[in-house]
Amino acid sequence: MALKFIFRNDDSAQLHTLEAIMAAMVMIGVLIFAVQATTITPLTSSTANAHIESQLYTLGQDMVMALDHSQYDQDSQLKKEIIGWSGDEYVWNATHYISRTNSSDTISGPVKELLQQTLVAKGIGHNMEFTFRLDSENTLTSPYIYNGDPSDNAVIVSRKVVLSNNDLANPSSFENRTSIPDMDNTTDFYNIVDVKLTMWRM
Amino acid sequence: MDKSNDSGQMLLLAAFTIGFMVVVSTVMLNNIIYASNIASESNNDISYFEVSNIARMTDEATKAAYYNATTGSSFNHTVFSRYLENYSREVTILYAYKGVSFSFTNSTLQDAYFTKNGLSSGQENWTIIDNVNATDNFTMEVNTSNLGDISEPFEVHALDQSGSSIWFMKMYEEGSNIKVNVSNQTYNIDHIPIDIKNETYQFDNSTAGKTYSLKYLNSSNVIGLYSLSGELTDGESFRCERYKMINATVAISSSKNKINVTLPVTVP
Repeated sequence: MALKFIFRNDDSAQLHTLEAIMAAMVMIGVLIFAVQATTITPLTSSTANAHIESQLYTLGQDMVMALDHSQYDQDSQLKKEIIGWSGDEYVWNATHYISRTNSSDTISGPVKELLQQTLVAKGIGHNMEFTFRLDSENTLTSPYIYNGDPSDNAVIVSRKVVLSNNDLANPSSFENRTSIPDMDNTTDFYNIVDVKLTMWRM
Repeated sequence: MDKSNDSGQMLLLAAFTIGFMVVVSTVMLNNIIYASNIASESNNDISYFEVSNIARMTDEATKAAYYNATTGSSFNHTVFSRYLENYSREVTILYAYKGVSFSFTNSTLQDAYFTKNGLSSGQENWTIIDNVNATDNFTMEVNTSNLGDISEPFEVHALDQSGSSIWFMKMYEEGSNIKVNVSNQTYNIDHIPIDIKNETYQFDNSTAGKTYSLKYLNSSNVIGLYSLSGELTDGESFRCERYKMINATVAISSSKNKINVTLPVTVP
């Protein structure tokens, strides 16, 4: 039996295939554009970061505001922390903030407890620094608590605390320990310390 | 053109329509995200937090300046002004780093009312201190010119933890005399300052062994000074004093906002 081939002069299949490819390319192009467009946000690498930063900022503000509260002629906890500072840098070792130079030297008191119960418990990375003026031209920032370099989306909350000579038991000893100098020898005004709390999500 | 040839164009048209709808909805979604991000960053200028910090520092610095100016002798205005000038200079420099300008001016010392903030318009019924275990010293010196008569006396109350009054004193003017009424007994005030802890006024008898708070009522009727100290229930000591008041005016401005705040500061 002889085979018989019938050829039809019809290009509709090719046209349908071509149209399908064109439609798919349009759809894919739109999807790529949509994915690219949603990542255009101001100063942030993702859409959620601005809100997370805002939440961290509010948390930090509430923390330092609570620590800076005082009443009935008493010093605030934040001021007590500065006055009692040894001048060392402290790191978190999973249970305590220990001094880098002397591991038996740890931080205790309300500041440590607040940081532990809020930031450590939530897994929020944090550093605390003291910034103060050394003289008419220079400013120094000393780390108090250091837990690593912050991420790009870290937030900084700062609270300034006024120190007077009568807040300090021994001003010269305090200066030797902490390097925070007396900015005015004619009155009891001592210096202003800017407490900076840096926080970031890990 | 037959029906089979139309289907290609229909598919292409449908693809374009769907694509256009996706683009529009994407742009709208992006605008919402952008706007909310801008809104969440808008509080990073001069926030309530900065204002509260400045108010706190200014209050503390003014009290410390007054303490410095009165140490060892009568009020030394030069020391007081110099302290606040140095404070102002340092804060101005600190805020200049943040692009915020700061200026500070203070008024002269004024007589203080017994209201919460020291002004005549301040809250006149207020609690001076809570959770008191023992009061070691409680004296006051009042100016008779503003004291009300018996119909609107100035009152000091010791309240227990349920809010009931366990001791109270009413103070008023009668003629040119100051009179106080404690437990329905009326006394003439001969000595100024008034020592509330004087045995006559039965303060210790009424409050011994109790946890109480001290409250002023109708305090806008009284100008003067008071001082009290003692121990709280947690073992901490306390001291509440008011001799004078100062209006501290602070002006803060950034490129976007300007805020002027006048803070009544009671000293010491």
